[in-house]
Amino acid sequence: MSTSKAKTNSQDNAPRFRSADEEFDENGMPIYHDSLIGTVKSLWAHIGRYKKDTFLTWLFVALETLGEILIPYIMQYLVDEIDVASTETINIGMCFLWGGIMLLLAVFGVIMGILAGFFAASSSAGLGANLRQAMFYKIQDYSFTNIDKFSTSSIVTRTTLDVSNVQFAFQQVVRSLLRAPMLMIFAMIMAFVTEWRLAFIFVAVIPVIGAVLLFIAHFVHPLFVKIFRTYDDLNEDVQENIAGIRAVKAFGRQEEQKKRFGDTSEVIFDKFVRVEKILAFNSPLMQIASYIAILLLCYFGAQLITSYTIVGDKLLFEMSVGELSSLLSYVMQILIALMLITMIYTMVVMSRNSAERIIHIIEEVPDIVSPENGIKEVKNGQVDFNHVRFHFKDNPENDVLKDIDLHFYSGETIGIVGSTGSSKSTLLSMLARLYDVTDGSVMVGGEDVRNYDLHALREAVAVVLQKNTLFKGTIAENLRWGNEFATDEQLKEACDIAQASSFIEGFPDKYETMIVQGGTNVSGGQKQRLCIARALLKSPKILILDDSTSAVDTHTDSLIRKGLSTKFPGTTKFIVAERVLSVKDCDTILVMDDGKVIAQGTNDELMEKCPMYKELYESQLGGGDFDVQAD
Amino acid sequence: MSKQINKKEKLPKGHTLKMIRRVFAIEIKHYPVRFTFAFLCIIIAAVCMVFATVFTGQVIDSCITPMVEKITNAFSNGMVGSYDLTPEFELLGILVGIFVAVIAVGLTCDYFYQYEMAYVAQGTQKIIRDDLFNHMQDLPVSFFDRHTRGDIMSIYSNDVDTLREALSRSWPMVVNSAATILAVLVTMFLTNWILALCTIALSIPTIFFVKAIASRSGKHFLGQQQTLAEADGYVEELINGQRVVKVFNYEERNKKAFDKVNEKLRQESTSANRYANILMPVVNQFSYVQYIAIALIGVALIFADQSVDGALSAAVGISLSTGVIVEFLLLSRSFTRPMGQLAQQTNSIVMALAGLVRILDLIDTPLETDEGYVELVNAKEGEDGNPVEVEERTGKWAWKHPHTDGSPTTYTWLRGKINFYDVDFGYTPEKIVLHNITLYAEPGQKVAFVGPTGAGKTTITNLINRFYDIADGKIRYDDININKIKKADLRRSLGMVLQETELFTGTIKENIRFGKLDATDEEVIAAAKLANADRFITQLPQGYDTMLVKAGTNLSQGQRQLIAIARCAIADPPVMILDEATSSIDSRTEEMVQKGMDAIMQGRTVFVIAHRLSTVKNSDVIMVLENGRITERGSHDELLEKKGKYYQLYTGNSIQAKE
Repeated sequence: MSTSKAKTNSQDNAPRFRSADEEFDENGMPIYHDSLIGTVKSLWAHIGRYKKDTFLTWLFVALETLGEILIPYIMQYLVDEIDVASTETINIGMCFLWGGIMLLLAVFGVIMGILAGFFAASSSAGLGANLRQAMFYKIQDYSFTNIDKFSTSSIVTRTTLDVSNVQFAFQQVVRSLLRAPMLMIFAMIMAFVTEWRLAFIFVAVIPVIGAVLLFIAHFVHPLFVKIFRTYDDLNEDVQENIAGIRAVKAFGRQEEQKKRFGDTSEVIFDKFVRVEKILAFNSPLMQIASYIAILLLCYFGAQLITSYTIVGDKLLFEMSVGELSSLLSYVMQILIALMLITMIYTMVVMSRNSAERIIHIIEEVPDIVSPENGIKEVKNGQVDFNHVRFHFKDNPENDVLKDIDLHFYSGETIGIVGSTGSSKSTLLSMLARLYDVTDGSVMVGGEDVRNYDLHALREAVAVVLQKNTLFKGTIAENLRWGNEFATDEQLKEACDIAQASSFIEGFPDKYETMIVQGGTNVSGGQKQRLCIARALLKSPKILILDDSTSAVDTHTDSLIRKGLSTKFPGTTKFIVAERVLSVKDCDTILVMDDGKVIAQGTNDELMEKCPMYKELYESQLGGGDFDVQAD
Repeated sequence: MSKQINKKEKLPKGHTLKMIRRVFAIEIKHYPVRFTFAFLCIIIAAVCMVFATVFTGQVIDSCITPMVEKITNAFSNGMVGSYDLTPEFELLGILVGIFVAVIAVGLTCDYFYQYEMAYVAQGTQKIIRDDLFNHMQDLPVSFFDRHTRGDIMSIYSNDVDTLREALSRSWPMVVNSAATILAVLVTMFLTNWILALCTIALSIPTIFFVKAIASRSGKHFLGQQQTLAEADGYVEELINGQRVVKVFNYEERNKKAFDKVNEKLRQESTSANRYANILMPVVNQFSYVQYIAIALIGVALIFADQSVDGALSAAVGISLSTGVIVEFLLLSRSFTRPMGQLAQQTNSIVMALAGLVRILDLIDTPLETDEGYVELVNAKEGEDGNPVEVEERTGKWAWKHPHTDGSPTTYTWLRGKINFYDVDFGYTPEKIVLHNITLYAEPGQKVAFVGPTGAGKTTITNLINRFYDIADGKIRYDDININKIKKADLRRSLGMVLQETELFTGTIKENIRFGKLDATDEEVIAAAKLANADRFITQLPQGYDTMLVKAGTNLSQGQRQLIAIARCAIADPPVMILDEATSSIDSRTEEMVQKGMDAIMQGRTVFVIAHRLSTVKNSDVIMVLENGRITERGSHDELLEKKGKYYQLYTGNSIQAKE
């Protein structure tokens, strides 16, 4: 019958991945910092130019509902007209009159309904678009520290699935927000007008229903929160699997991956079933309440109908049969209104978590921001590291840079070697303010980097990252990341220096060749050269090549370096490399180990004074018998 | 511009039914009992609810009205108070009793169908998710070249999610409404078949209208899901490349590009929902029009009947009294209410269909074919020195080669000999990237590929493990055509350390164990020691139990590569492919890794791709590749002697450069 073998042990079901923005109490339940109203307010702040559409939706919904309320009222007259005819002849004229009024109301209702639907659609889709935009814009301003707080898959889920949830809920809520209370209030008023003594049944039943709703929501909401977090896990599984599909296939690990994914999807299934078990009570309980109301009405109604007083020669009944049937139809109307309210409530409960996940992205404060009136121009490529100390925020005990004090003039070429994890990349990422120093200062062109306009600083400092990325698009589009307005000649020139033009021109579509996501359709070495060309197009004051020729053969590597020194003489160049050959001709070579610069000098000086450098040199070049001709 | 899972502009017409049928086939196959039970519950609940609406009429007709009549009659006969209402109140009691019983049954069924349907719907979603994932595992590598990660991920989240509402709420509502409509229709025909026919006739335009609007809405919902996938892909790509975005000041331009996708999404979403939102008010209000029409037709019928002195009613065999019309009008209300409910569900159903198109598109993508039949089996040495198949792990392997011509199955030792004969290959048939590759790798030999980037080194190794299939020529593994070997077994016999290390969320131990699932902790540590990874792992606070998050981005690239090497070492394969395996490890570490690697390579056939002399130098044979052709081959010394391309590559000597 069921394939489920899942245990409902909360530990098994705990999501693996927890974004840093979500906190939990000791039972693993989410802690909210925002009230529901606060959340709604934050969302509403993004309605922007769709505010008008939202108000129009409400206006038209109100008018549509008015028609909806009036039609059954008119209907009664039509029925009476026909019913009367059992004893007399039918007044066809009156029938057509009431029919005509009803028809007009129906046409009015259709028009209002369509308009309401139109504006509901545009306002909710608009809100969705605004939310996505706000998130994406904010993420663009995040520093690495901010980004590290969320996982990629979590951000993706939030910008798509969570927004869709909120958008859908918003549309339903906007369309029902006025309709439900209007239907209910009208029915109540009519019930009191018709027979106030029986109308108290309504008053008694409605709070009971409200309590039940709240009770259900109380159980369901935390479960929804957990479900959405498991969705992140699921996405993480998929993302990782796609990224690592070659490894999966090479090791024949498909079955284990299937099992792993199956376990995660089982958790989602399991939790949803628990939610549904509770939610399924909603409709029957709601109906029980209304049927109780109907029974009470019939019972007390029968009492009232059979009670009468005699006034003169007339028999005066307390209540008529027609009134009873009207009351019964108001019960149905209230039931419909209640169903709408339940729906709204479920929507709100389901989308509340999505809304908060969105808001957390939007309200995250970027921790590296451009200063106001920052310096707009970087004068030259002079670089000073003044007693720089740095540790990552999440690991304050461990300084990854320890008192670095270095000074370089414009146009110098600096090589950096050192073992894996010696913080070479971290040191250089300070120049483009990818991270800020913990202590000390980093200066470019004689000014603290923190005083520059961020945009201007990063225009002047070109970084070719170790883990580099090309984006989906043509080669030319990718290159123009460096300079939006670069001419074809400039592209070619940069590619010539980066030794990329020969292979680009070997492609049938040349510069228009499409690069797929992650650049997997070009080889590692080609990718690196494209990345260098892209950086060169910025005509930077400072150029950082962070292990960016590792997949390029030595011959090409040397050609690139030669090109750089002749074409970019004024640019300060930092070359991080594993290969001694790549740095040995630099003006200065730094040897780094464990966050410190242990030696500094030219190749010859280091061969003399730095055993670590000498060892490195010999392990790569010294043992051979032909490398000496390298220059 | 972007590659989408589905390029079609609108829902394929005939497929809609087929798609729905497939989903139900899943539900019925996996949850036959629950599904049938839920189905019955829905119908019982519907019938009970129709009864409940009839109940109030019954109470009024058979209890309350007679009571009032009795009182009125007594009064007009001048005998005030002399009447007995006991039978009516008794009847009322009985009716209430029946009502309570029916409602109890109805509401119980209501609960169960809601729960069971939701259960089945969630189960179906799980099955579809798992199907998607399982199917995806066996798709050819080229599929992943063609689709962005975000695009595929969107199917798992956005598209599968559209099914939730549709399967657990909308579909039961449809069945419920249909059952109600049917019950009411039957009652209508029993009451007055002329008006019943009129009702049906009047409903036909509504049905056409709903169909037309739903298909327009569906087109846009499909567009919405596709654009959502596009946005998904865009966000995913840019978040992963956020570092590059920062260093190139590309934030503003990305915002503009995102705005474009976002605006498209907004428009599709607005159109889709606009069409969907039209349905409910139109169907609702149309029900009133229908009501008016029935009332007027009824009146006209009575009028016509009266003018011909009842000849009409006699001719059609039904009474045309006002009472009948009024009763019919009540029924007409019960008929249109479920119609409105149906219309309300179109939104989520149409959206789910759009999601389903994309889901089924992936599930229907043809799998990587595997026509291999030669298997890798555990073996021990027989008396004649030939392999004999055994169940247990012996550490020795043999190829089990059944023959189609009826001759007995042969066994050959797995030795690790790989030969290429005149192999040509192209990712597309039009563009051949490897030409006439011929090479012989004897068991235990180390073969190195060097050459400029893009020469086709990695491509060659991708042919050995059959990530891609050759266009022409032959590849033999221990003299067996590799196409005859089962892919899983072929890949099991090949260890790979790839250019881009791909690790998974989990502990370091688990990641190393990826190479051999039943490895003991000792084996894991031994493999890590061999790859020289043990040193840095033990320095981590949690050692081997350190969690790797986000595909291991909390480790440096070099550390990740060491783990990948350990992962390969533990698999203990006879053939290894090392594709730039040490490129991100610094030279000092590489020295140490190299020792471990040499130990790992001992006695295995190894293909090495590297740009570093030290990695390549001691190979048995070095192949120099240029533009997809092998241009030089020989040992390190032989090639240096030649002073050709190899010499040039490794001296960085530009004088002889020809590029």
